[in-house]
Amino acid sequence: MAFDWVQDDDVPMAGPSFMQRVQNAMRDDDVPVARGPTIATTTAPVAQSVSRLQRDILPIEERPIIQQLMQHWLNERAAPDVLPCRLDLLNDILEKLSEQASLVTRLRADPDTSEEEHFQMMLVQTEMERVRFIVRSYLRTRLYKLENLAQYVMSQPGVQANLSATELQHARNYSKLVANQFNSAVMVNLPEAVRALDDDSSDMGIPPMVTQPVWRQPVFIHALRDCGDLDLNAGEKLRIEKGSIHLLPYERVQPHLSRGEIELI
Amino acid sequence: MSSSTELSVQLITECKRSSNSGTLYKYNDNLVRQLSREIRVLDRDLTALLSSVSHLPANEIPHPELCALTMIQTTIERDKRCLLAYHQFRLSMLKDMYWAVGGALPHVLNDPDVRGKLSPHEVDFMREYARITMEYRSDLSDVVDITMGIITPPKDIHALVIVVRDCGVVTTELGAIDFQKGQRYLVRRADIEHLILQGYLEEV
Repeated sequence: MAFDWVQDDDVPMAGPSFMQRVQNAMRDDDVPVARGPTIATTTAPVAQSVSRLQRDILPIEERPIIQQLMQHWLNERAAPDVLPCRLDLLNDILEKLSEQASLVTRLRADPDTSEEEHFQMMLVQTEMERVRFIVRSYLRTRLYKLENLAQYVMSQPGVQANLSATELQHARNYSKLVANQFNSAVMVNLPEAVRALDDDSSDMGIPPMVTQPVWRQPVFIHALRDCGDLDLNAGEKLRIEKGSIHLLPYERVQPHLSRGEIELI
Repeated sequence: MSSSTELSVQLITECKRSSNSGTLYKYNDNLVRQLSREIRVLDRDLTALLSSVSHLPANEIPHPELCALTMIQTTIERDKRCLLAYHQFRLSMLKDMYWAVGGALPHVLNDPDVRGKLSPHEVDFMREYARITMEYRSDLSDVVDITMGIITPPKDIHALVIVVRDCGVVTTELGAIDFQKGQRYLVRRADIEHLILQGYLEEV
């Protein structure tokens, strides 16, 4: 039997819904919450009550830095190739994080810190852990793609421009390591003529050996402004309007993504 | 020719089985050797065949020889790709194991069960991989440790854990704690997350 989800709303509930209770709740803060000067840096942008709709239409660079990072993280996770590294943004965030960490350490060591401030500190620390999580996930996603595409990256100077110096070094090390590994484990036992690691006999119907990003991978896009008509296959055109959401092959929307006209979701 | 496809298919099937069941199999040295030998034999055939027709211009090579040449050439290519695919698959599996325990290489290599399944090349690979990853990490390690979990975002800075295996004295925010089997602690998640990943502690 199929569940009738829509009907659920009419089923009598044991009490008012959570949202109703919150709206009708009494103010239970006895005293206005003191906002220490310390709690401002990283949490403030997140706490700003930017409504979802407003946020969506803002170009990425005009958002609070945490939200910028989150968007680049989403883009990175959805795109099949390695996007430009936001090193400046990362550095800003890392700097704020260490600032905040030293503040917290100082406040904790200070015996005058009040109970309330201790509680606020806990929230700040949780927030910091969550920001660290995103940074970590962002970097690891890039690292994962880099390693999978190492050989491709090393053969494409254009892609290398997207990497930070550390990432480039890692890609170089990794592709060398894998090549060594293949040479010493497999190729030494094979005749010289077949030892190459970058065969490309696509004319014989054999796919090339160097792994490429899946350019045709479908991605969900959200248009941040009107992008005009997009050429699809077979001469079809698709008008992309501000605020609309589409599912399209990555190769078609890549130029718009690099110009910041769309975001991936 | 039938035997050749059989060998390479066996290797690929093993990858498939390994990825479906999520277990690492022992490095199939025997099969890899057989397949390499086959490529060498095929290459010898190819060379012999080529020299027998080398006196003819390219467009006058008789059809039977041309077919044989194409056939052998494609089989060699196929065998080579299968062989590499097998190794590549194992490397990515090993990398996953490395990241799953938070980059604690000794934890992977000292496990006799895992160690017995690796070829000497793979052990070298892991060491070297850990080294270059460490190089990458060292740039960031003071602020963000990229080896920590990226599966679920942290909701709380503390975690209630139960010790399932003794792991000795560990320095945490609260000072040094001697974790002994059966004890419970409320500790800072960031301090002990690697111990959860490595199976010393469990979250309650």
